Amino acid sequence: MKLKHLIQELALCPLHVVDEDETEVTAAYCGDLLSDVLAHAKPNSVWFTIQGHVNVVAVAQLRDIACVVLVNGSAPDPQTIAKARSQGVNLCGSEASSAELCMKLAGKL
Amino acid sequence: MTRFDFHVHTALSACAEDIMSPRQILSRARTAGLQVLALTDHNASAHLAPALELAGEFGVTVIPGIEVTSREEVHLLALFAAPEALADFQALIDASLPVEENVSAVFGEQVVYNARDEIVDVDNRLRQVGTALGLAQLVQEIRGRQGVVIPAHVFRNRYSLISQLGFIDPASGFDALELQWRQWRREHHRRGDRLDGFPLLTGSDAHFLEDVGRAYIEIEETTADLRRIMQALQIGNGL
Repeated sequence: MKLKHLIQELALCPLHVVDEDETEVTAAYCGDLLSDVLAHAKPNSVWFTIQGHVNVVAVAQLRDIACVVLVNGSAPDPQTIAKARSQGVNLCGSEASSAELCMKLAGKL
Repeated sequence: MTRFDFHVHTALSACAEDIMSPRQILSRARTAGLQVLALTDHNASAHLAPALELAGEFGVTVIPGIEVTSREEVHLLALFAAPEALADFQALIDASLPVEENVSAVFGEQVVYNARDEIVDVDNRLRQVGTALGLAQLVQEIRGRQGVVIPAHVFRNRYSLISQLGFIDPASGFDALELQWRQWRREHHRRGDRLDGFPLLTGSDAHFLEDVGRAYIEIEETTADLRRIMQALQIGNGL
């Protein structure tokens, strides 16, 4: 699914998104422990997390995450958006929980 | 009288200033009136050796230390009486970290200095991440090497016992708990205060050179021996 459609489908709030027409999302991962995400997330995943700190951008880069989605209305640190911008990492937000978003996404990736 | 800052980062921690070489830190420590300090880098300890070389020159004792990240992403300070014990523990950490490269554009650089303020290496291994070692195992591994276990900044909103676990278990085998110095000051803590049965301490958690020694523990006795310091603080379990 193209990132553009994912954002529409899940009613995500784009915080920093580039290339939504071209970026392909082929998997999803839920995780708040960065080492867990490093161990298990697949490339081109949408990553649902409550962690808004800047280290999230590094992990997203390391695993070629298509888009990080901050759930439960979790706010990113100011540095996180700045780093996402400078590193070209896509970042969105949602008031919904990981579970709600994943259930909406079920069978569509 | 002994002033001891047990939580100090160096340039070896990606999140700390690149100018924090062992020489600069010890110079700053002396200016700040510290007699003892521990270098506690994130999952790293390569600056212990040059710091030990310099200790005599600056009249500051360096205690072998490290800030290890548990699998639950809790930061634990470990202090050791002997450099060999830290080296052994470091080998365990190196085997338990994921094998990844540091993302220096986000985390910062991990710079390695010698005792003459010369950069001798850049550590490219990802260290700003959790090891595969759970809290309970880490307590065992540190204690098994005659080390002292102090969970760092226990009320911080990330990487702390409270942020990651939501509670402090009185039976968890820690030697003391560290409060961030701002909280320590704000709540007017004193040496001897306890929480859930654990002694409370504070240190600088310096990530910038000028912050070395901004907080420290102080005991009446003049000693640079880790065991004696812990005894004076009534922390006796680990040694």
